[in-house]
Amino acid sequence: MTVVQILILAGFAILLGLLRRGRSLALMGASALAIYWLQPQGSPFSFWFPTLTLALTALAWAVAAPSEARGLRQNWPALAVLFGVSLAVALPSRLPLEARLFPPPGSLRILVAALGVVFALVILLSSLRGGHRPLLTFGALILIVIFVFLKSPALPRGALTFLDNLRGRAPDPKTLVNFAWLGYSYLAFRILHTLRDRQDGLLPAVGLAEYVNYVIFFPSFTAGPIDRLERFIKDLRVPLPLANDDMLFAGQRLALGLFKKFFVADLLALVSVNDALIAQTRSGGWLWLELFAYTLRVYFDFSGYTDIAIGTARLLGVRLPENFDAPFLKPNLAQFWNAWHMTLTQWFRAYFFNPFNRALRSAKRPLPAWLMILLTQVTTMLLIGLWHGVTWNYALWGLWHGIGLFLQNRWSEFVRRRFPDLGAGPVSRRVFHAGGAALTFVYFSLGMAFFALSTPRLSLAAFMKLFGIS
Amino acid sequence: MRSVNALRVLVKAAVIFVLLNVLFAWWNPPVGKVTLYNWLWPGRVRLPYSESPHYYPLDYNVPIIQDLDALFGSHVLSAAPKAADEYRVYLLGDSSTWGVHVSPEDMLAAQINSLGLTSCDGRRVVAYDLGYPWPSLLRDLLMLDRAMPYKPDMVLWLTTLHAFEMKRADREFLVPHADRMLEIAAEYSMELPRAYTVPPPPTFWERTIVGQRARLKKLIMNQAYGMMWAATGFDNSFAVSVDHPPLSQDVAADETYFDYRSPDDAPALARSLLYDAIRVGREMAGDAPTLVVNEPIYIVSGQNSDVRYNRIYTRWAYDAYRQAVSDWMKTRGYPYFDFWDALPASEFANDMTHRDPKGEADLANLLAPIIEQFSCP
Repeated sequence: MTVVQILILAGFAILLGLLRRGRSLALMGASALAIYWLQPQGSPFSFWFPTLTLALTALAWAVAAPSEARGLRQNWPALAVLFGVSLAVALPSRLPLEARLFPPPGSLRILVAALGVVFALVILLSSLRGGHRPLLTFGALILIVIFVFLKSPALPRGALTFLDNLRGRAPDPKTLVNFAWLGYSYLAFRILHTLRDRQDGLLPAVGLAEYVNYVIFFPSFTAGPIDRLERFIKDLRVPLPLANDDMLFAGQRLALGLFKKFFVADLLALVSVNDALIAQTRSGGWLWLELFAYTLRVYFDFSGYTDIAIGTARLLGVRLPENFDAPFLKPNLAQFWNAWHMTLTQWFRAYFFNPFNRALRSAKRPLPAWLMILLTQVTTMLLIGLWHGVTWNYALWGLWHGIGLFLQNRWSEFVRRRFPDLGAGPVSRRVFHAGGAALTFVYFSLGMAFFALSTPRLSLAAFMKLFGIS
Repeated sequence: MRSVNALRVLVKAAVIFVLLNVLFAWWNPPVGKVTLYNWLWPGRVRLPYSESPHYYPLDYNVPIIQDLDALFGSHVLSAAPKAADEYRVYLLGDSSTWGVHVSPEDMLAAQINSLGLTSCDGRRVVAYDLGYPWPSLLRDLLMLDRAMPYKPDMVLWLTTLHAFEMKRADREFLVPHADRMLEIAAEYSMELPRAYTVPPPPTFWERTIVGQRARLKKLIMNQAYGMMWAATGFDNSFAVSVDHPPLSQDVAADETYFDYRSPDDAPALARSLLYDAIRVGREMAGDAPTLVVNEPIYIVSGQNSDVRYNRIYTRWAYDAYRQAVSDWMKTRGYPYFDFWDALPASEFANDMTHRDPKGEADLANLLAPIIEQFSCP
């Protein structure tokens, strides 16, 4: 997102926040328009990805919504707004390219037919008994399959080449570069959360408008945080009044976020490690600096976007959850991961770590405690790594952190048993805290050698240079 | 706790923002002089340049010619006063002198320095690359003017036909320095070409922080990229290996050279050249000998090579230029070295314009005896 886009969206948030009636529908329409607007252009899918986002969201609602909220009569205005936005975005597609705010659909007839199919499916699914378990599981599987497809670089490349071959034309490298489904990672995780909660009977009764607002809420659509539906709709139903303190809070977070993202992070990006620098950098010392710069850049970039999202949401009367809590001041890796991208780690804790842990503990022949810790930590972090992309390097990054968490757990246990008084005094506590924070920062930064680079070979070369082996 | 009024905060912020902008526009602070080079980062061995924003992160470099303070503040030339045992040689010129297709260790200045030359009085010859892409004698004058406080002992001025031509001041390297260019013209009684137009001075709005934001962004980027220069010694992603692919030796059968259509226009072309800039450069350099070198060009040998030397220069235009400049120099007794065909086509990079490392080394060897000879009083 650009500064101008962010300021325009913040302006819209203020206007929407002032609405007393029809706010939910207006917010939904604005969010739907925003995802078309923010979707990267330049590929034949630029129109269809946002359209699929809306279709998936509507279908997920039809599958997951509790019975009392699925009536067509109460939800038709929301359906009308959703389809209306898609058509409204598609209609001016005959304008010259420069005059277009939104990506063109290619064919209006295909769009109308597709919307008709989605409409029929929504009606059909919402007429079924709610909480249909196989349907919920099938829905989750579809989301995961799409996720794996999008996040595996080879699969879209293969599919696009296959499509180009079918049409008898040479593959266009630009199409692959622009092949990005804006916000899908967050969209999938929000929807998965609702499908899973529905299976457990925990999903509150939400209408289509509320559900869509939760999934594609424009302040947090592209970069989180991942809110929980039951918390989100409380704010949506009874929005905070746009009081003086909220304006101040929103202004501060927006200004801070813009500064973090567009000054600090963008400046650090100039000196951050990348593939080419592994060979170009003359010594390990400089490479350490480039690696630390990358770590800080990721933090300021991501936490800056979070600040912007939280500030913009507050203008709409919604209190989004925090995503960062001074992670680099935490004295160990476990506390670090409780303070870094908190909503994602909470999601994995709720939907993977805890159920997996429970399953292991309740097994007929339970594994040794240390092995259970190793398994749960490593698999959770591996999945978090793969959430960023299905590549070897993201998997290695997850493994690095899983093993790090395990080792830190064992070390803490060892120290607690053998040296219970270690770090008990006020001075030694501070020293241990500072030392732990520094060590955690270095460990996390070393993990960035997997995250920032594209292949394990480059990561290995980086490690060797960092430690003076080459 | 006392409640803070959001509207009041907003108004205060707006007032401070406006005041800062007004102050900046009124004061015009010399922000280009603030530099981390030569103390936190090593100075660059050539002036900061990169072709376009796409290349900035590949070159770890950014063009900042709109601010000569920042340009020279980044250069190793401004690192320290000249040592007593140093014989300082400036290399002026265009992209060929800057070294568009070579890395810092292969560029002409580095090749000259690697020869270990000494001046007549036994000082070490140290060459400095003050070239900058795009040929222009007027821009070269600006560079020399700005570099004179660093006390050159010799100026090697590498030129070509395109540099001698009269151009409007509509290039990014002349527009921001139009005032200084006029001052130089007045100081040295130089008649600027009629085509040279002076742009209107920047408006108040253009002088504010908001109006200057693009320039300020580049200045900050230049400082940040200093770390990458220190870390890598790399400043140019166009640097090519010696094994570049062979180029086509064919050119179009086109006799025109910009507005000049045929050999009948040769006298007009010769009359239009900016000879006076050479006179001004020599006066500007004072006691430091100023040696003008017509730099080697790529010469094709394929189809239509009887019409054109390469895709830039048609034969008749380039021959007319060589003859005219040579005559002009000879008449005034100015030292002039014409190396136009000194290098084979194989020593140029794959853009038919710039030398490769071998070409730079061979040109350095051609220049070496000249430098040593003219270092004698």
